Amino acid sequence: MNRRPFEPNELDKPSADADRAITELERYATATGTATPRGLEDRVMAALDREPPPRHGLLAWLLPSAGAGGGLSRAARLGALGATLVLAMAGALFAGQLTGIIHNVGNGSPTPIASQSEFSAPSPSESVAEPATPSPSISPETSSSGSPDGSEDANQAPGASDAPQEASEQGGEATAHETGERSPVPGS
Amino acid sequence: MERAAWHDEVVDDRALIDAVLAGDRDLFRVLVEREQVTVYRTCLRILGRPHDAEDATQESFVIAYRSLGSFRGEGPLGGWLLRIAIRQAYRRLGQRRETSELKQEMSIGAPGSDPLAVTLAGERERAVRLAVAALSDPYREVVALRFFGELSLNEIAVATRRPLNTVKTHLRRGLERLRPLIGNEPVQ
Repeated sequence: MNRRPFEPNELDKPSADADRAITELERYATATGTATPRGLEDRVMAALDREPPPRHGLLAWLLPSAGAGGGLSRAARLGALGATLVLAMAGALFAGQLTGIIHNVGNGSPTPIASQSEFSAPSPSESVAEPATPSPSISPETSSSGSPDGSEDANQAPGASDAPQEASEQGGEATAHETGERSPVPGS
Repeated sequence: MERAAWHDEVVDDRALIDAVLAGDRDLFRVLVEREQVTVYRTCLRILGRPHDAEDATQESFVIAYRSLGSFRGEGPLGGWLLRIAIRQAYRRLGQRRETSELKQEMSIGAPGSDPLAVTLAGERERAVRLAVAALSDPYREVVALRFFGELSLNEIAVATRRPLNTVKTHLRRGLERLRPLIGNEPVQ
């Protein structure tokens, strides 16, 4: 077998220390140019017969065999896997919230109005109460102004007294905040 | 010319890998036939014992087979395989040290009739092996790929996905660090 001798131009710049090491390594490589033992190929193929078929695609990329360098490091792969899971969870939470909102809007019950009020400020309790006790002094304020005060009232109202559904919405909102805070971590 | 041959080899590698991943395990034998000499020789130069080199060669092919799906095809399969083999051989060398099996070895080079000459040659070879093993990565990997695996610097750059100039710098620095290690190695 032909050896590939070292050429002086293979280094980025000349170095006397490197030259001495090259001499030793070249001597060693020349002395140890041996042939493969007989039957090595059959031995390798026999070992492969005990192996399951190799992994494909994303699974192969995420879970490489030990010792198989290739691509990203183990830490990077785990980071990518973690980021994918966090994104999937955030997506599921968002989809759940969205479904709840759509469902509530579709029902037209008192609760959806409360949930709507989170986005558009007017107080739900007051607008619900409007048909029962038509009080002209209250309703024009809430409908026309939509001021920060009104929205604060709206936010306080469901939390204090209303159904578990609203509590779960609050819980969902908190979780969404958490995921919003976590998302940069895998990328870092 | 060399570049064209290299390109053909990469295309052939891709076809070979696709066929093996599709379930044609026997085609992997083509890869074993083609690369076993280089892999075994590299392992032998790192480990210094034919029996260990055989084991490391077999393990390297098994790992390569398992991880075939993660090979991205950016260079020849041989370079990827050699990186696995080098990592595997050094892992085995580390285990050997932990179990205190690293005893005095005979020369793996050309046999001689003079026992003293054979012993001295063995010591010299051992000094080179241990000196390279003592390097840290990426220097060790580049030196091993160049002198034990006999890859060209271009092939190393492709296999390690590093710029050619970076590879040249790593090689020079590795060789400079190697020089005192080889020179100070005591002859027992």
